[in-house]
Amino acid sequence: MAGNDLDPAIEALAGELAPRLTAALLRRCREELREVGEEAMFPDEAEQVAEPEEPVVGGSDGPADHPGPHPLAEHARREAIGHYVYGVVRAEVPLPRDLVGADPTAPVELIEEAGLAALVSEVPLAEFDEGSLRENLNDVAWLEEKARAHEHVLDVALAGSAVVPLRLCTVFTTEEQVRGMLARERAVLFDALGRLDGRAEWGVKAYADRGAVESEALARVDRPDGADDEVTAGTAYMNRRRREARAREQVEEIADEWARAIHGGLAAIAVEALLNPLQRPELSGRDGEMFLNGVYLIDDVEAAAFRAAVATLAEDFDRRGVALDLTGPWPAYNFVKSSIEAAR
Amino acid sequence: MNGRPVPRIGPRTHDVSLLDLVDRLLDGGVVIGGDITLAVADVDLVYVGLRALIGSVETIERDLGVALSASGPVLERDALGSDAL
Repeated sequence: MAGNDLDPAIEALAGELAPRLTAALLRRCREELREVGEEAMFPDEAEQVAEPEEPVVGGSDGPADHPGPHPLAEHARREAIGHYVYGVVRAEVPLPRDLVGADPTAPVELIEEAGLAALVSEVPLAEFDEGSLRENLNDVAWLEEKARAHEHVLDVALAGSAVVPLRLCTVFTTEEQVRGMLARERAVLFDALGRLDGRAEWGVKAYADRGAVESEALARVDRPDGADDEVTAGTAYMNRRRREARAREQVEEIADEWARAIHGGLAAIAVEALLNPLQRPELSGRDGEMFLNGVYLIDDVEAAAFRAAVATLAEDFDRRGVALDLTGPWPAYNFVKSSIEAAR
Repeated sequence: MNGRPVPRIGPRTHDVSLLDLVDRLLDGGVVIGGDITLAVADVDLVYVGLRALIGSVETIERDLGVALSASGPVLERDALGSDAL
């Protein structure tokens, strides 16, 4: 084979291999970059085509093993990468291979340390550093995409084991720092995992139709039997107005009573139960007015009983103009809200 | 693998409202100081502003019968005729 026939073949093969080389080589190059230092690794030289027989997986190559600067490593140097952490599970928990997170081009992987594993994927710092985050978090479309991606990763993890969910957007600059975090917070994380084993969070929101509470209040206000028949129209009118005024005073008490009845019934089945702030009516997307926003930590073995209890309550309250909204199972966002900083 | 015996309610990630997500992801979960995360106080401020912003988006969607999805607005004809405002 003539020499000039070989070059285009090598180029074509390299172009074909490049996407497959990207993940493994980029990762290795980035780590070496941080360990060894940019100047030592990448002298200014013309880019070369990657050799096809370069190993893609396996082995830990030191800088001495690389025959020369890689065009992909050049690319890594120009593009800063962060490590986005979704949550923490115990080490050796299996994870699906094709799971992606905040950056759809980067797979979610486990970084293990001290018996724990952080669920992590690489993200471009251009999108996730402090300055960019401030801007992006105010973009609802961006936020929605990242929030759903974050939740999806933890959903998948939750299907297989206990998982401690992290707040949105926890990003580290290196894998070593992720490991350092796991080692440092080992006790808190293991404690949380122990509390969450075999459990999940469920949410129940209750809404009252417009006038439902007032109707109930009116129905409870004392009504003299037949007394209205014997009084003047004016007196009857005044009596009715007084009853309505008394009913209005009871509206809050009734909403409160209903909330306590529902929350109490569900808390009895829960490991832990919390009342969260009500979502504002225009935010909840429902016609009625929210009067309960409860979250419940439920043992998996009790989940069927919990759902049955919600269904029974929904039936009881339906005739009173109340609707219940059940969501779950969720990773236990509401039952791990300790700040690591506060724990120190 | 330790599968959970609990059947999920519908296709989870899309049935859940953005507000329910934001309440959990920005106000819940463990807070760990990543070396380049926003300070907790900053996230709280963003969260407060965002809840109002999300509210206005969802109100617009409901009132006008429009889905302001990432793929662009989609008109829902049935909702347009309603006078629920």
